[in-house]
Amino acid sequence: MAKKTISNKIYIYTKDFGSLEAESLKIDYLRFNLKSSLRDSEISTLATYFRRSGFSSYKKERDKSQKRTSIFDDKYFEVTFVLYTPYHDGTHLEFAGESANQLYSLIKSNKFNMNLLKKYGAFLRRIDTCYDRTHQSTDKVSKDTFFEATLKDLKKVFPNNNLEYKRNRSGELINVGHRSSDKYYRVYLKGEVLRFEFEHKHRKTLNLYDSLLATKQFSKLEQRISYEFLKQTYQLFRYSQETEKVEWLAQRLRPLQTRNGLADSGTTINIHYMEQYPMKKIQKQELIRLFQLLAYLKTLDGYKIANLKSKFRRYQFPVREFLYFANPTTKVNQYQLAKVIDFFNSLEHNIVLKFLSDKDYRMLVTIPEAYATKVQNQWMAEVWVADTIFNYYEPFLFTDYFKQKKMSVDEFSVLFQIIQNFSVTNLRKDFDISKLYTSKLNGTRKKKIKELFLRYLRNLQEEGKIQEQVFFPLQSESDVICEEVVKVSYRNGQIFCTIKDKITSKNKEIILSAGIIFAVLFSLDARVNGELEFNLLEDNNQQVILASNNSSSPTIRPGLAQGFSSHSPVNRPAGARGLKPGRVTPSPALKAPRGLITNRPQTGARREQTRLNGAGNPGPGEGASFDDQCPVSTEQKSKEPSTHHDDFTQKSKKKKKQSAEQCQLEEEFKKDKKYGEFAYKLDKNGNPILRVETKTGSEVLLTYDKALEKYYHQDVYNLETSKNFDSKEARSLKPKDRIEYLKKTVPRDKVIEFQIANAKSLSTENLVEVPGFIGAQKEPGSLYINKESGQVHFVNARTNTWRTTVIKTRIGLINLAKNNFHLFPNAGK
Amino acid sequence: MATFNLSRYRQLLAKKDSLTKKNKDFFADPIFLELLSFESSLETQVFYNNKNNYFALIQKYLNETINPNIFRAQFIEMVNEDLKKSHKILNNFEELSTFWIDLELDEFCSLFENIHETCLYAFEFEDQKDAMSEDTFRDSIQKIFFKIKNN
Repeated sequence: MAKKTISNKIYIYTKDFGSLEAESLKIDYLRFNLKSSLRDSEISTLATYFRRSGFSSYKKERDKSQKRTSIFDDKYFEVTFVLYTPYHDGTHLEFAGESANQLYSLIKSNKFNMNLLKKYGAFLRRIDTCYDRTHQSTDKVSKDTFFEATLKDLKKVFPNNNLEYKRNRSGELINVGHRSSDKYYRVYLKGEVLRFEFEHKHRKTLNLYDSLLATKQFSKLEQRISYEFLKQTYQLFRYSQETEKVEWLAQRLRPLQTRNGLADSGTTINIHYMEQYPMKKIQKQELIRLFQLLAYLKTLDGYKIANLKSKFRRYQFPVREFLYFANPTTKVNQYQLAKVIDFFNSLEHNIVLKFLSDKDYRMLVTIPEAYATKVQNQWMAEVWVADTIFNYYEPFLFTDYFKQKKMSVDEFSVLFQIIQNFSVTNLRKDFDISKLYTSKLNGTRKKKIKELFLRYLRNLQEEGKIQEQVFFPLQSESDVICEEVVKVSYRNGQIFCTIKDKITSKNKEIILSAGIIFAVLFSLDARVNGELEFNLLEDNNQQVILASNNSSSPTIRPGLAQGFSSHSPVNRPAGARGLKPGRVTPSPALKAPRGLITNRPQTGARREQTRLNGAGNPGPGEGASFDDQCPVSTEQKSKEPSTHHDDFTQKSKKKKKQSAEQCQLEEEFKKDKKYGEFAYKLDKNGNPILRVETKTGSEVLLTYDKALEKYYHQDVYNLETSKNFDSKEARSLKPKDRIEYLKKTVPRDKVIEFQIANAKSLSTENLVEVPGFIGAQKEPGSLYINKESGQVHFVNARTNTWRTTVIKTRIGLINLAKNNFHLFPNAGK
Repeated sequence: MATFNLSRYRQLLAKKDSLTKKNKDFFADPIFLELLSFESSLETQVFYNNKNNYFALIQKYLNETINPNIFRAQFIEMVNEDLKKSHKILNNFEELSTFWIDLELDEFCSLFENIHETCLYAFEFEDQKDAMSEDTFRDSIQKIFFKIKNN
């Protein structure tokens, strides 16, 4: 399949990156060479200074020697004096791991006198930077699989490089490059995290770092370190097939790819991350309209800046002009005009923003004021938009196919579904073909829909958004074929995929099942050929030494190594913040969505009632979230397409049925003395679920199973236990063994007694209820804090069930309050 | 060292009562946070007075004389006992008036809380994806203990 690409590289500059902290990077190793060998007295002077700065000092004779002798060993951080190395005639100072990070922090905060090292002619010789990717509960790929796949990819892409894969004590390790070369990369397991580490010894770059350190230009230094790290990482993992563990990299670089200055104005739409739940047709249309509106506004020159705390642009334009922009091939008729007027009048309710998954972006794109008014027989729209949005880089850029011609219902649905599925943070995009149509449709229409699906996929492929390598899960997750796709086609009601069979080297055809999953490295700009170029141009002006073109990197195959271009820099994204880049932190006024309303510009324009009543556009105050269970007007229902939405309707029915069942269950709660007068119902095993009405007006459910699991906390209530039960023994066991132990030693009535004690504790007057979270995944919930005893109960927000109770110290409570009531925020990090 | 500032403590308690009646947002109120800090200083002193037992327990764990689960269980149990003790003292003004507080225990307090939090976390997430590996737990306790001993 020929690719239509326009060579238009995207340049990435050091200034696109932020500080090490913002990029979630750490310095993990520092080595300074001194001009000459130190005398013992000089080592002693330096060691004494290091001790005062919190470092133990050690010395060792040779670089590779394992044995070292201590000078001072009473401090946590460490420095090692290396006396002899084969490649430099002088003493080396080595700071590893946390000690390197600590030294840099001290230098940065002016707490370490670098002049003392400079006195001995110290210069930076090596710096290691790393990114730690923590395990996520949503991870589907094991670390072993990642290592195996990465090695395979690297071997394929960089066949001439030194690659080493080994298992060490703490797990697997992949080395790229030779240890002694200027650039050396490692990926390995460090405890529970996957570490991506770049060891940089390139002399000229380190000279630059040295001079930036000496002149205390820390911000420039960190930007450059971040740049070098991300450049190396991108070049290694850009062709990665096992993408889950490198999604952080894609998320960081993705927005930089959408700033294509050469794209024809108005031909593309920028799209942000989208929620993956079903949407009504009108919601889909309005969301696309919103992105089209933003694209349209970008083409307009005339706007006024409102004089408010946050900068807003006020645009006024004829509604017909926008309609023509959005559908240039369609003649504007009264129906369309009325519909788009209705769209403007509903915009400020921001109903559709709920479907964008990034909350910061939602706030940014919130429209505080929008309406259409009739001025001298012409409908004029007035829209207020945050100024910041025009300097923002959304992660996705699609050709605006919606405007190319009049779309059928199916065309719109299929294209929207593809865009929705594509606009997720994951590199892996899941497309469920079965969602595109229902079995009720006739064969001709099904065929048409499948053809549309393939057509749009081809478009994405032609635009360079899809990798040539595609994963097709067949019957089971384990049955994954990773091959080069030759052709995706449709015949006799089935979708076929032709792949190259590696064993026979012949083409082999497989039938795609309902699920088709595309692995995409970086969802690239519609107009580019997939090349990102890291560029140091701006540093020229600052007389900074450029790292050489492609020669020094051992990790880059010459053909793939990127040259440094002399193109002028394009717009930079509005702030590089952490690994969710391109995200502009809203100004204080933007932080609270409702705050925008208070800041709403006061205009004197009078609104006219439009002809349409805005079906599908709830009025002010109505919930913006999409809910199949919300009452839908008959009129609106009749507007729903009869294609795949039927699926959602069926789901909706199911939900309604469930809801009815739930209502029935609610009625089943009864009260009984034996359960301490708390309302209860029985679970499937005949054990009680207690319902507590707290003094803060909330309801909490306490399950028997959870009470049994946490029974070893019974000492919180000084409950009398059975003879067989020993709290210490219970705690000392591993979780599975503990459950077994608890089942054996704790009688049912004792578990219920603990359940009741918890229920009583949750219904006391002393409780303060605050919304909070638990764990690194920020599972939302409510914290019920007993301000007298320090007991903190965590109740899951989704299920309203009690999860745990811990006793916090007073300082623990203070920290909890400081930390936005996030319980165990570091869990899993 | 200084004696516990009983008069200010009484004032804060009185203000807390009025806060309770007004049903205020406690954790946003500086009075309540000051009261917590007061009580925290006493709690920390109780922990500090018992530090030899805590240190011995940590040492036992680091020497691998006891397994991590037993260590965590015993540490949490000791903290809970000390918390009960400090709550008793806080309710006994006579004892409070003669209670001595070391004013330089901030670092100890923070490190001690770190160990407590780590133990609680290890229990809470032990069978989940967010679980802390025993190696990480051990490293973490070792580092904090080193700092606490050199404090």
